Amino acid sequence: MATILVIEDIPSVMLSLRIVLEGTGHTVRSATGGEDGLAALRRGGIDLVVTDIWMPDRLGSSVIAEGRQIAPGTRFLAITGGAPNGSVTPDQLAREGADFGADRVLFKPFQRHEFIAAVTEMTGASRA
Amino acid sequence: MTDAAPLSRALQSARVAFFDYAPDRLRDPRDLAGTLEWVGTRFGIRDLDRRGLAAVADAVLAEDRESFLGVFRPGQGTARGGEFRISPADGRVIYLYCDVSVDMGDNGHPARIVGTLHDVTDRRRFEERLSDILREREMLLAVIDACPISITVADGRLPDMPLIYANRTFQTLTGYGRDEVLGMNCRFLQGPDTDPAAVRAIRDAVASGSQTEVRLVNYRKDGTTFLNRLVLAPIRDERGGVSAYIGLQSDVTDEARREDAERQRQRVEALGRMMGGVAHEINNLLQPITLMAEELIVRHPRDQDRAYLDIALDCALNARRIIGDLLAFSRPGSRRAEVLLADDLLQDALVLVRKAVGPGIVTELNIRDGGIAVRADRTAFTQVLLNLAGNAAASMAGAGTIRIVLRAHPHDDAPHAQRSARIDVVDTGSGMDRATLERAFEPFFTTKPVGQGTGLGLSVAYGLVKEMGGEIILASAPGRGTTASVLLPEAPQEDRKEDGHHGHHTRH
Repeated sequence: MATILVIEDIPSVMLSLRIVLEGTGHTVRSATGGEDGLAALRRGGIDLVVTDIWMPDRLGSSVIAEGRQIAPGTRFLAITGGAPNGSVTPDQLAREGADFGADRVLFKPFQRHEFIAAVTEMTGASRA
Repeated sequence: MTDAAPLSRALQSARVAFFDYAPDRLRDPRDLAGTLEWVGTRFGIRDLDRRGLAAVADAVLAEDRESFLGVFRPGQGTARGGEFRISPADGRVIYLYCDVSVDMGDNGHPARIVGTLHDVTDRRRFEERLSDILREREMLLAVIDACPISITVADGRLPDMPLIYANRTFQTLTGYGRDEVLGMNCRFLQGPDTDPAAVRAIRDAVASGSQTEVRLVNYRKDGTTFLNRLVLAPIRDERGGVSAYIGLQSDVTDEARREDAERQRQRVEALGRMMGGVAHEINNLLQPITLMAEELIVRHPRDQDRAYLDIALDCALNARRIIGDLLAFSRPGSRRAEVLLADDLLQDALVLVRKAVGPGIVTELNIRDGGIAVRADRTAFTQVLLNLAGNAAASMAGAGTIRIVLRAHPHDDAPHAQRSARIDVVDTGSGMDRATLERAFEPFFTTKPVGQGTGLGLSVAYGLVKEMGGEIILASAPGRGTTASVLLPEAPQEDRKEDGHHGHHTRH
């Protein structure tokens, strides 16, 4: 089983992700923001990062970009529920590319089986 | 010369002279020598006493000399009159009217010429000014007639304010000739679609004698309509009563359509931003509900209360579907656009549409212009056509024909700008009134009964088409059906080769 870093600022979302991942036998580390997440990534041992995109301290896309420098072997799964009110325009989002630099994107709210399938595939690939 | 002082003074003040002239042909065959008796004003002519008629002749303007000589050297007839101008030494020009009576001598030449000279300068000056005014008035009328704004004048003093003037643009605008409209009240331009509120506004302004500006639907002679921006301004006489009304009419049909489209675009975009924000919040709330309900179902597969969890999960998934539709309206960039021929796109989508609209609806496809390449997402386009056809079917109560027409649509503004593929979805259903039409793209706006449709169909279609760089235009009127036109810009040439390698958001 893999060690997965979840970066998510909303506690209830974080809890639900943790429950499913731990229920599947993975080890979960959690960070409530982009900076915390990058600090955890620097400590090493992360196979997969599951990161929210719209977080108060920094965008998930920039966390992914910097995270790839810190941990080149780590894979990134972006999760997003869309843009919060007015903070970032859809045009900006389109310019940055809709995949946020991640290996995969899941749009919230995704179902348990979608999540598990994505995580299984990505952690399997990282060990191959 | 006789000096009858009182008479002379009276003549002088009246600017009149009396003369009695006897030519002396022996001394001067030109008839200017002779005896001249003169009573009254001398009009500033010098040496009149000494030189007689020759002094008068010298004062006459060169161009009027013929007229002068015509009076004093008459060929035939015994009474005559003439007019000539003199310019005495002070530089003024005086118009003189001369009235003479001629006694002919035995030799066939005048023996005596008796007459009056009358200063008519003031009258001539006035007439010149008058003709200037008339010329000016005529020029103004010509300007008004050639003015690109339609101008009418109605007589405010006659009952029912008949038109007394209509310029050429009025005739071009309405198709009515001047003869057909003069004497009539302007309301013959109104018709069934004319807004009664605008008519009331006109009536109120006329009743209070005030100026007003309204927009109203007017009818041309051929029965077609245009949106008229009418400015009605009263003209008052010196006692303050309204003597006339000037009407300025301009056709603002296109302008109003552009304004409407722009207003609608802004409203839909504002709503889109708001919906995007709401969707973000709701999605994050639905995430734990979904995952935790599913996790509990997995952990307690045989629990007797599992049905409750199924219901909770079902609700969460339904909510996700609605929010997904909303996001399609506000979320860009998540689709895969490829360069496709509009005909192929349409044919593919129609397969699904025909299944979806139900057995009572016939769909007719008419490809007038094939071969236009557009950038589009197949799934999204199918969704758009499904939504439009679904609305068309509903408006015809499930029975009727939907015509779908594909044609090239030239760019409005510049001849060299790109053209578009235009897909018209035409129904013969109930149609929409203006108020409904204005709100048709708003999320959750629906005319369907509660429980039938979320009111997201057109919003989603709008969002998807916008995402493809196109637009949707609705044309409808109650009882006349609806035409929904999807415009997709033609793909630039260089895009067509690198077909189909866009927008993957999965990297493996």
